[in-house]
Amino acid sequence: MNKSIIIWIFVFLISIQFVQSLGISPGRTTINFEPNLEKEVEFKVYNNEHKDIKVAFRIEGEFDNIITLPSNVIEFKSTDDFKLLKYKIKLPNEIKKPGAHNLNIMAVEVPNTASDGIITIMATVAVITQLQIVVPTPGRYLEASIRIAETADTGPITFIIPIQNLGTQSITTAEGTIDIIGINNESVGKIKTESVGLESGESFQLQSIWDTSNIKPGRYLAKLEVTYDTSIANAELVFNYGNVLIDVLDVYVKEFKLGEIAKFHILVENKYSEEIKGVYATMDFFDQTGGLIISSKSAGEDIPSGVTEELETYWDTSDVKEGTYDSTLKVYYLDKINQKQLRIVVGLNSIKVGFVGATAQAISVKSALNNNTLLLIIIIILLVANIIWVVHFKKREKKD
Amino acid sequence: MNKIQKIRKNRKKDEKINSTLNLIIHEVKILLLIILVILSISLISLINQVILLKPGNSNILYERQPEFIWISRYNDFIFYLSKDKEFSSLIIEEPVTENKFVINRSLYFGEYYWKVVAINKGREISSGISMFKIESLIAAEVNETLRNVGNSRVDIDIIEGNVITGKTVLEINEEMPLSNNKTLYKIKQNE
Repeated sequence: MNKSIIIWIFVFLISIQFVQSLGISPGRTTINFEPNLEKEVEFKVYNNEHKDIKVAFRIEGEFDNIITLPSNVIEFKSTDDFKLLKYKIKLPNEIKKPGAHNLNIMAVEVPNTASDGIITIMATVAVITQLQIVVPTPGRYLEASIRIAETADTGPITFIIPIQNLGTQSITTAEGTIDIIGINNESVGKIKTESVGLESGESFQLQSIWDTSNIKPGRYLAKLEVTYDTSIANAELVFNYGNVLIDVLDVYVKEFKLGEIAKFHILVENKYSEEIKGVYATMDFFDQTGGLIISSKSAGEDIPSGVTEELETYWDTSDVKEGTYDSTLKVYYLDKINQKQLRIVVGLNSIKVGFVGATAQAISVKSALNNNTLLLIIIIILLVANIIWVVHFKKREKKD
Repeated sequence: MNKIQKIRKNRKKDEKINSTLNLIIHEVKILLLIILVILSISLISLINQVILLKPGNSNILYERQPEFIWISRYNDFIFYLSKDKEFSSLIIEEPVTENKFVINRSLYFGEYYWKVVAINKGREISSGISMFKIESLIAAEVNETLRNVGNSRVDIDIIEGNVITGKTVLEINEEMPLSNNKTLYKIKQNE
């Protein structure tokens, strides 16, 4: 009896985390247009959370009447991982416009109370499997685009080049070349992709990595040229490389006497490939208890590319005693802020400024455990404790 | 007399059974030997081969950076990955000194062919050719945020009362805040 109660408590506690998770695969099915083609297309719907759910389907897009779904609503049991479904397509006699025509088959989780006929969609997600009908352009025709894969602010850049053969004929070789152009129209790099062959209607993603070890942060233009058989497809992309564009090199005070106004020289370098206008700095000075003493702001400066410039802030030390103070330096440029933590040692005749390494403000340490995981761990610990307690109790009962 | 004859008869019968049994045992021994020889030959030939294990032939994967594993007694290999089974559209051709290869790029959806060629004393020993398919999975998890838990970059249409109020793109594993309860998030493959 105790066991079953414990199991049910466990099931209940687990189920109180309201997570909605639905999946569909494939995300896209591409077919080449053929007059009056009839075909069945398979797709899978995933019940990722293993719950008893109902999933409703809706078709949207041009030619939505060419698709027949097996059912408008399907039911999942908590034991179902996924359901394999098929929809039927019957293409028209003719589609005049060449290119890719997309239809969306949308799967939405619906509340269990909804009847099959009327579906009320609450705050939810709809995952889509697309049917892409390619009406090929006579001959060889390839479409290409270019984007950058999610990468760190520094380090090499990965270019992703999706290509699709939208022609009636297959392409033997398609190969991309990317010319990277700097702000002064100079070529700063040239990279090539691998070479692939594509059947009519087929897609592929070419990739190429650009070594940025000698590249300054800045704005660049990537000019893509994909050579396929005897033709060329082009695409362009303007992108920014690097994040820290204004670097703080040094902060110092030259001549100082306690009680006077201290002038802080902030040396900054523009590492961006263009001039940055209106760069300014602020310094917040804190006492030993962390209380803000004063904030100071510099004038704005226009800093040309590659130039080191000096920003100045001031601190009136008339009420300041000898000792160590913390300060937050923020350098503002474009829509960015470069923040540094400083430690300031005030003496009778000098001020020494040092950078603090990792600071609480600079590094926000993410907790490895989120609330849900923590809750689950606590529940498991409680359950184990309960089981031990029940077993112990039973043993003692037997002994008595 | 009769008794002696009966004993003789029984003895003959026993001898006959024994000789039949011996014959069967002999034949089983020969059969076992043949099986052993066949197994040994197969094993020797297997040892000299390169056998592709993972991903298995005709497997459908959602992992876009799959791990390739094979078995072989050799140490030096060349790993090949291609878009076609003739290996004319090569994507990767790389020397490897382990029985595995971890790809450092995310493969696009579609069919791929792979093989491994062992190099031993200047001789090339090729594995068979194995095909696998990477399929896209569009999946989202809604908790306090909406997270892209599929294997593709996705387009998201944010819809409130049949009106598109926003559009965004989520990379794999990227998440976005949710607005109110009556919002529908339409998620489709971007790649």
